[in-house]
Amino acid sequence: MASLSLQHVYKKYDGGVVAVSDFNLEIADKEFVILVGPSGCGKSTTLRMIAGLEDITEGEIYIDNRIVNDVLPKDRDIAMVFQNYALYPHMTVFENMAFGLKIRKTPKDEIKRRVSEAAKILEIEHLLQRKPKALSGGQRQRVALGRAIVRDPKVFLMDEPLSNLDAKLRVQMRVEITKLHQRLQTTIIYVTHDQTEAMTMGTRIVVMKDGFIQQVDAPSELYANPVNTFVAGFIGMPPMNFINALVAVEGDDVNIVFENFTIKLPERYAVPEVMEQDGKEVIFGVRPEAITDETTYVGQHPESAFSADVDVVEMLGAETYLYVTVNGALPLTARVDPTTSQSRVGEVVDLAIDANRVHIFDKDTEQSIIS
Amino acid sequence: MEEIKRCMLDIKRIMDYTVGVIDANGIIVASTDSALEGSEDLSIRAVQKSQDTVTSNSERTYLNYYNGDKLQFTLFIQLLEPCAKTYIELVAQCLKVALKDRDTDNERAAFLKNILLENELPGDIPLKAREFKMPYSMDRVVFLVRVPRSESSESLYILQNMFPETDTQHTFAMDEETIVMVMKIEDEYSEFVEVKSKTIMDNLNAESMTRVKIGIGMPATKLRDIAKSYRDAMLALRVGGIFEKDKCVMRYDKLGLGRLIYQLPPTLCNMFLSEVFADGAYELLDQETIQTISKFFENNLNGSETSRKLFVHRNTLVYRLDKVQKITGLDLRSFDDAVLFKLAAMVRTYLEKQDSSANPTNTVW
Repeated sequence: MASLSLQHVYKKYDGGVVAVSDFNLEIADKEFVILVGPSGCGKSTTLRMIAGLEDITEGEIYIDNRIVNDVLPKDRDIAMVFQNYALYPHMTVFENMAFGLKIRKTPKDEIKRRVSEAAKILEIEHLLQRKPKALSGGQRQRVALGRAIVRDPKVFLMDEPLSNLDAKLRVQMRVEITKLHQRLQTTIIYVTHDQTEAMTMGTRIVVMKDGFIQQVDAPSELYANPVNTFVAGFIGMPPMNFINALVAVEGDDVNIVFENFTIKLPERYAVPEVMEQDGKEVIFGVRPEAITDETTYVGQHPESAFSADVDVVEMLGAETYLYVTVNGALPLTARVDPTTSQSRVGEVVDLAIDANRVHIFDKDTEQSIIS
Repeated sequence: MEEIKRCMLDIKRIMDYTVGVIDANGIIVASTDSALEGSEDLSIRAVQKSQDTVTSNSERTYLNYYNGDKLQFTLFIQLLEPCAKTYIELVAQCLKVALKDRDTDNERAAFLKNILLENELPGDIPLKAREFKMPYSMDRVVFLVRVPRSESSESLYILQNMFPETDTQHTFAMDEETIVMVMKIEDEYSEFVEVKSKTIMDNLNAESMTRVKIGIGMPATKLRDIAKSYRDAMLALRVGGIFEKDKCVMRYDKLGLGRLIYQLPPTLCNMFLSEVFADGAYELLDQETIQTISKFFENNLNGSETSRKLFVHRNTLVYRLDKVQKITGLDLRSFDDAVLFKLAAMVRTYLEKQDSSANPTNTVW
């Protein structure tokens, strides 16, 4: 169990390529932190720098208040779990889990104790004498986790460990790893490009792009208050709708104008940062669930209503996605209630935006205008 | 010793009696009862001096195991019944087979090494391959796994266990920091090497926290062609080490411009460099400018995107690019000049690193 601190960490390669820039992060003991971002954003490089598998160009990394910049990877007391795990084919599950300890010359009794404990935690005690080929995908993944657990490390580093699994198994293992964190009460840093994994597993999420941290927050906060269009678009499925719109201030009222429609925003948006945008173009962000086709709501909120052509209706059981086009030019996605929705493909539908849940971003900087 | 220990474990599964192997100093080096390992057998001197192959004392029955005329080990079984002699001789047979397998593995590794280093006559290769039960015609590829010297034996042990020796898969050490893996290509080449190299790297990273560089050669259809695949993998490591230092896996078929430049004679390179960067113009560019150029190339010469990624105003980017033009005479906004700059920068890197890369053992971790 350990805390981690990354201070002004940079990774620069020859020829001027910068993979990670000014990375600052404090990770408390027992936290489950997720590094998420698109391919090439520097998340795996950051993880490898923490592990010591990559040198850092500038900055300091501390594990439990001890600077580890020059400490060898194997002396950092960490364990890694990767995507492309492979089990030793001719060894039993017990031997697979014990292998790492054996090459570290751990006493036999200690190996037996640690493997038994890990097997109990992972609920694979009954599989200890089996060979890998007799295991299912999920069981193999658990053995791979077991190999890391037996080391009893201060920190677990996981680099997209579920990417090779099929969708169903991935969901199952996601729950398993979350439970594991609760049982082990240890610090985990987990890298993924999958925003669903990030949202469901982490206590805190670090969103990265082009080597820079974009936002560090709890999942709910990240979803509700993204700091820029990148975070807003990356977190949430289907992604947030972005609309090029104009801010029009009339007295104390703030209106958003797009495609001949005017949406009146609630009072809480009448703050100086927004008022200053009067007459300027902004990016108006609306999550799909903030757009509804419920007749009663639309009728009660004429100030945020607009009409659109329905292009596609996707019925997913618990929810329905409407893919609509406003004025034949602006595509939007709405997540509506399938029990009340009457929308059909080819029809014109009346929609309304829940104006309490909208976001306004600066057009140039793409940063959120309301903090 | 591993083979002997493994043999003891196999025997333990079959027999209920305690069996073990004693070295020349009287120390039990392997036994079905692991608690006995490391302890001394006090009767060993008398047993070794005995003219009989099988002897016994009040507790154990012993068999001296010879390699030619030389006493190699003494085997014991904790049993005094008449059947003890039969059992101990059976154990000796098992051990003989295990040691023969090891010797065959070593000979096979030596044979493969000779092919890779082109020390084997081409005509002998099919014959010896048959002798070692190795298919001669088969799609194979060579992986070179370079690890720090201090980690090499551990890494070899991990890889040999991860990819156990078969007729189509071989893993052995080439030198103190290079492990060679010759593998049958099981599906499409590109996909196969991608997955295998990632597995090798991830498992070495996870199991022994070792930094790894992997070079991958081109496919070889015949056993004798693995020498070329090996040379390709060596070149991939060398060229990749110069031009793509951030990468851990270097494929020969993905070296691109780097391979082309690597083949050029240094005199020609120097001539080209002094033509493009006259009077050491490149050295006058500061780190910030080099970073800007790299980002500008990364974003396909797109000014708006580059300035956004660098968090600078577009005018700042224009100013920096003007500065580059003033120093080098190359306008990077023009495609031709950008290509020239990129090539010259790569040639410069090549010349700079040429000395260190010429020696393959000088891997920079």
